[in-house]
Amino acid sequence: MTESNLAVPGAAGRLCLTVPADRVPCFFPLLQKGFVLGVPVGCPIRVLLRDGLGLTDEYIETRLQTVFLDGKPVDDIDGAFIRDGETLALAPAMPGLMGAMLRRGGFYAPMRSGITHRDDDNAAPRWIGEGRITMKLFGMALRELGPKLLERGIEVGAGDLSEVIRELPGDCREGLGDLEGLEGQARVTLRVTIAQEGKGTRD
Amino acid sequence: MEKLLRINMSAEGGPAVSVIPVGEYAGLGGRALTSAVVSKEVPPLAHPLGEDNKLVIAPGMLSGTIAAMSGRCSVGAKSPLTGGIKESNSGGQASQVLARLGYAAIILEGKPGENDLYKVFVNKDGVKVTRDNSLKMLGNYDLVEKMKGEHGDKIACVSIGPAGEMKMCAASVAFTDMELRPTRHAGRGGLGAVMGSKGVKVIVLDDTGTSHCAPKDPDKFKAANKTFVDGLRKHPVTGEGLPSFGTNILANVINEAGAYPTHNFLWGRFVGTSKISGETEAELEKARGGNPTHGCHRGCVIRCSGIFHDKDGHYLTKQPEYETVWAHGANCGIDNIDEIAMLDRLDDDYGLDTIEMGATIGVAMEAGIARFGDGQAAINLIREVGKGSALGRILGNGAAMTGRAFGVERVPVVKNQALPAYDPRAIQGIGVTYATSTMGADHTAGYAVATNILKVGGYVDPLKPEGQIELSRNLQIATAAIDSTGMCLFIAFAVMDQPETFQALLDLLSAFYGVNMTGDDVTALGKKVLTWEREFNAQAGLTKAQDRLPEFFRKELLPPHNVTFQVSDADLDKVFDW
Repeated sequence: MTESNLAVPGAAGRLCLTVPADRVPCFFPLLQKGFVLGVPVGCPIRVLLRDGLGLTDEYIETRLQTVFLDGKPVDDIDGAFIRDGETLALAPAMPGLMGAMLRRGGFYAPMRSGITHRDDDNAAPRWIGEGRITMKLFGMALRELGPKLLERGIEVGAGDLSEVIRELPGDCREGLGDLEGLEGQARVTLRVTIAQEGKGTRD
Repeated sequence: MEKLLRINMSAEGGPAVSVIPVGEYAGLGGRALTSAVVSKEVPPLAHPLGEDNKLVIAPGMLSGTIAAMSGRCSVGAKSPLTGGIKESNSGGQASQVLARLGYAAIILEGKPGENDLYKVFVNKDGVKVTRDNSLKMLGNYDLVEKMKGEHGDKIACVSIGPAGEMKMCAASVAFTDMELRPTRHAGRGGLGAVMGSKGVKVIVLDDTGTSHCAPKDPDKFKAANKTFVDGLRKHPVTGEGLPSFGTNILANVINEAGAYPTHNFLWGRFVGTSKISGETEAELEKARGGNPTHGCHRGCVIRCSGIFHDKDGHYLTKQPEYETVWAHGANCGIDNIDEIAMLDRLDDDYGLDTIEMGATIGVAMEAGIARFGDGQAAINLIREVGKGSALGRILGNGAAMTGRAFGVERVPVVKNQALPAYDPRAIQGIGVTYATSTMGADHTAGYAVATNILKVGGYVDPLKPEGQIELSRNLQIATAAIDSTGMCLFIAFAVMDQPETFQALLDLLSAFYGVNMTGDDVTALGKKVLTWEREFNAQAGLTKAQDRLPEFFRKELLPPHNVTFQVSDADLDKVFDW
């Protein structure tokens, strides 16, 4: 992991933690609530997922069945462009009628037509290059993509991070040291690496 | 399943039991059977708590067989909440046990003259109805423990808690799960109050000495079941998402869509969702020694129920479902999963519908009875219901009653039944189903069940409201049929996506009954059930005026998408034009 990968432009503080693998899910609420990531913007969502996150086309097609751009369900990830400052949420196929409705390009998509993302919502990207987006991960996408992104480094609200760390089990929190410094920061770049064994540490 | 068990609670000298052939109801099960009996035998203008109403408990058409996912049990009656016909179904063990005992349904009729409580015991040797007033006001958990002490642990129980005895409109009928805990509920429509009005506290079922219901074509049945199970296991929703996270996996995505009703349907997003989501819930359960992957009845291969432990690692309740977590969580501004789990436990113990109670507390909070976000206050309000205090009696009769009592205008109900966890302004299509369902606002009334495979969906123009109408109509038809099979609705995704899995379902039905069932037959069954229900409701006085969402859904913009419900009344009135 290089420093440039870790850095999220605009984030103030920086925190690198090493925790046992079974404690990585303790950080998942941060990934559900939303985190900031430096990625290519001005491109279709598929390009971001493939080139920015390194996902294969097969994974994108089979696993990421539910996609939201700024809260709007996306049907066509090749026609929807991601722009600086937008929010992208990724999830697999979801259960129930609502899951069927929200699924991209699904048979029941017309039932949520009032909130569907339309290509003309953002057809003309103002700018193509590196940018910052908020990303959210749900369901199996959280388990499958979350650890890699935590390892890469994400920017989160310091208050949210403090809350997560306070809730960590004692055996994991032990070794992380004094984290009070977070209180003074609005945003923090967090990197979480997986320890082979033992307690958590602060790098 | 060739016989009906009728128990006349009005009979002179005490309850009279008759076991009769299934007769004109042969071949029906689940919702088809409950709605057939209610529509044919209950006078539509009967008082729901009176002697002329009947409570029908019917296993599904495939219950009692080895078919996976076939353990849903339907409960039907005229509803004290909606004033119309009601079917509410539940998981748990009872459906399989009742079917193996050979009963297509138990029908409770009449009304006891005295204020006595009864226990019904059914096994292969017969039926015994016993007056037992020691059961009065027992919570479902203590009640089931008492039944275990009397009958052993090879039983299944169908029961009511104090809410049912008090004949509250939010009272549920509880079904025990595989661990003999009263965690599964036919929650909607106040059917627990109807059971309470019959004076029946618990039905104890013991299938010792019986065997699986035998299909007419065992080889075809076995092969179809294998294909069906394979289809469920390989699909990412039924084989992965639901077993890993339970139904509450929906919380984050519904919230992201801006359709997660928050603070009594004021907003479409809840800031605390990540603290109460299925993903967070599952990790917490694992850390505390609970289990997010657990079936609610034998033969379940999806296993989305789960076990929730408290902070000390002790069993508290089953994994709260999506609807429960929403109702008691976001809708009330509560982001503490332990408080929500306690509310779930209390609902199950008192025998209350979690959706109705969450919506009710949301209305009470809007009235200023408690502050949004105050979980302890919500717990105290549910305890008032359990005690039967004056306030508790109001709350226990649901959101509509509570809104009237406290002068609240924004009350999210259709036909007096609380809306479930999807805001119809963001998802217009589900608003159509909420408005027009025969059951009152009901998220399961129009489920995603293979309408594309049945070819009854047709092409839908996403920009025209007629599309919403057509989809809702066909979903309601398909759902009415699936509710009759006893199959869990969560099979929907695999059945919808995988034609071979849908065909396997048809093959299961065909092999069991010795017929050749087609998609057209499924559609015809669904239409027949809906027609019975619509006719009953019309005669009970429910008109088009009741097929409407509350006014505020048309007037108030829902953030973040700032949308209102746009489907016209004229279009809503076309839903049942077929």
